[in-house]
Amino acid sequence: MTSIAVVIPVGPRPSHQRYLQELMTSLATQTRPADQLVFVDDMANLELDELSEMYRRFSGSAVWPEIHIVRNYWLLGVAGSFNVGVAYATLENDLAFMMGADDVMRPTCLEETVRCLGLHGGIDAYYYAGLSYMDTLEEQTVPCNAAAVTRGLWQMTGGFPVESAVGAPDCALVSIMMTYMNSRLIPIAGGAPLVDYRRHAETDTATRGPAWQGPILESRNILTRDWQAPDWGRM
Amino acid sequence: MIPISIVVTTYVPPDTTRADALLMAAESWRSRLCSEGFIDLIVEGDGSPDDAWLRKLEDVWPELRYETGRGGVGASLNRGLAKAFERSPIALYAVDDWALTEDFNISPWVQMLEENTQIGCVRLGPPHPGITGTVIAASSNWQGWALRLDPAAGGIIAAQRPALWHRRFFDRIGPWKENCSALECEADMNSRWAVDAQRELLHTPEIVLALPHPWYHIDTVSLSAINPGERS
Repeated sequence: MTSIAVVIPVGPRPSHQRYLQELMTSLATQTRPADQLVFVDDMANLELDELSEMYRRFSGSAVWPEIHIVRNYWLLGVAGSFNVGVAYATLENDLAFMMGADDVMRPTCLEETVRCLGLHGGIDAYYYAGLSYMDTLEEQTVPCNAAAVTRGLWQMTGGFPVESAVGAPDCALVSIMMTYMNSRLIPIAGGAPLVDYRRHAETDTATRGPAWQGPILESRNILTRDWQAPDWGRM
Repeated sequence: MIPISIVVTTYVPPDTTRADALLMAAESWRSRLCSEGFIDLIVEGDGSPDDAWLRKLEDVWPELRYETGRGGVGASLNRGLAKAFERSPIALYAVDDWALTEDFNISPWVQMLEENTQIGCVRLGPPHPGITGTVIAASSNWQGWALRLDPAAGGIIAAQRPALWHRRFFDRIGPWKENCSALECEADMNSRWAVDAQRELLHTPEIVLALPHPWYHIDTVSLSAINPGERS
């Protein structure tokens, strides 16, 4: 039976924790609950009891997923924290679903993700979710960080390149995959919206502003052009 | 929003804690259910021999109508819902050992039943294994979702789960089966609904699951989470 973890990096600013209750509520009301929740504490000082309480408040089940907190020793940023979380979560699970701490999952998100892996024979891939923007309900089906990945994919690609620390963690990896292994970019449920994306003034993208768009796109292009399969990594 | 009645079925054997659960649940409905108007609480006692608990319940819900004819959960549901539908096409079925652990505004879900004639029931209570469906409505700036449940998944209609029922559901599918166990009563209703859905997909009343909301079986939550007086 397929097991799935949800990986959630949480940064140090108050805004990084402001919407955690809503995320936990959405995780607690999944039609197919997660087997494990992996919080990557990127200098956020998370408390396990508080996270458990957030889940409990809207979970009618007596059986909860294991909640793990992986504490970074210093600030890694979103891309690095996702890499750590995926590596940790896939030690025990077939899939790691990456979620922003300010977004929420629709009730069938994990069920559809697990089904999608089965439909594709369990291949190592980037199974990405369609989005719906919370404010406008506009839908988007292009690959982004709201995706489930396998350990094999992370070993094959190297995960999010360390240079992704400049911003938009998914940008470079998705570009690399579109160029070298496009068939491994797989929309879950045909790209139907499974994640509600929150736009607010303190999102990573918004706070970086237009000044970072140039470096992000330039680094993406260089990383895509020069990409080589990693010769490092642990099994 | 139209005012609605709350219907609860119960059976309280002597010397059990069932009445305690009911009183605890009723107190949570009174204090945590936010709405634009409830008419009354209709209690179907199903022949409960001792009604000392009823006096306590009247302290919590003075607008109480009580009857205790024997006939199983199906008969109690039919009687209670019929009384509720005399005054309003929508009734809230609240189960005697399901309590609210947080404040819950039910008005948007009542409004959904009023405005969407294809929906016959808004089920409350968390998803259980095997249940699935399609998200048909997500509110902007996220208040929650409505999940249209798939009749083929089975086990969707539960006589022992809270739900908002519209009279149109029973007009189409018929009443609950009487003089049988709760399990048989549920299985019968599920079966009739699923068969109807196969025959007349366009006209079968849909069942929608409201998510999220804090309405849980008392066995699955700690008592301090239910008792408003003990909340931090």
